[in-house]
Amino acid sequence: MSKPSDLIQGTLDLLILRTLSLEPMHGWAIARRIQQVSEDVLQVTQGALYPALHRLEQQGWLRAEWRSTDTGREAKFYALTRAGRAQLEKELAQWERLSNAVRLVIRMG
Amino acid sequence: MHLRQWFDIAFLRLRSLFGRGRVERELRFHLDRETEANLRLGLSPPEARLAALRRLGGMAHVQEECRDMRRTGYIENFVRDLQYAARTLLQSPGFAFAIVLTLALSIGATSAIFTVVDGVLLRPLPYPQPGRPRRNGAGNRRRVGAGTRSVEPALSSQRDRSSHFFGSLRGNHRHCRDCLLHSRAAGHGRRSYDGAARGVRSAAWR
Repeated sequence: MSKPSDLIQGTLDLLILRTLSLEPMHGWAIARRIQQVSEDVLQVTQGALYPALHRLEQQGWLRAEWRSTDTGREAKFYALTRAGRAQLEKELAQWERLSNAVRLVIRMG
Repeated sequence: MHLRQWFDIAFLRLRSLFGRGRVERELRFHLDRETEANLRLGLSPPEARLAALRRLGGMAHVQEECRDMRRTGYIENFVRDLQYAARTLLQSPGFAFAIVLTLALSIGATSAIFTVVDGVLLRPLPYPQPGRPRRNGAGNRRRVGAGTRSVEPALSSQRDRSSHFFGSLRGNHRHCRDCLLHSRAAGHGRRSYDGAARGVRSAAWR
């Protein structure tokens, strides 16, 4: 199981923004989706997820609203704002640069 | 940052300051979903609940971290500090009284001393060229002549020479009244008094 410290610092924000760029979700679904899509490699612990969600909302990148789920329960759904979409683009470009650089170093010689 | 965004953030902070139950509600929803998932995996209800709690890593801790992200912790801590201070002071009224007395005396003494320093040293005298004051006293009268106590002749002779002399009249109403009385008594000095008054006014405006 991967601890939050195994994720590179700042990657969690990117994962959350990318996941929410598909559709608005609540916290539990975000964690689930990341785990499923990464084929159980990335397991976001809630201890890291919720503070990150609140921080992203505070920065104006996410908007949250209480809505009822399919099961009829009230849940806090997060959606990407326009500023959040711009931030996602920025973080994606940064990630590309970083991973390319790492790959170059690994494959040298 | 846009103004609109700033307002949104301010609103969010205010809300998280007063709506403390929201984070807990959100986490409780998560916990319930996690428990359901564990049940589907075949765990018994208590085990499912425990496993979900373990994964969450402590409700209170996560709640606290969420609130830290909103940076309302400072305000809450400050309010709690104030409450603590009030409680402690109420527990020992004698000590509180001594502290209040000490503060009152020291603030009073400091402001009294500063008032004197401000009036005497810092503030310039209230007329033009305050650095060149001229004593309007016995020295002038002696030059005017023996027997007369009127400053009127001295006043009209000095009117054109030194404007700050007239300026000094503004700060010293007693002299003004004196020269009014004397010029009335002399009968001829009315115009020169008016001139002096004009001089006073122009000195005041200069």
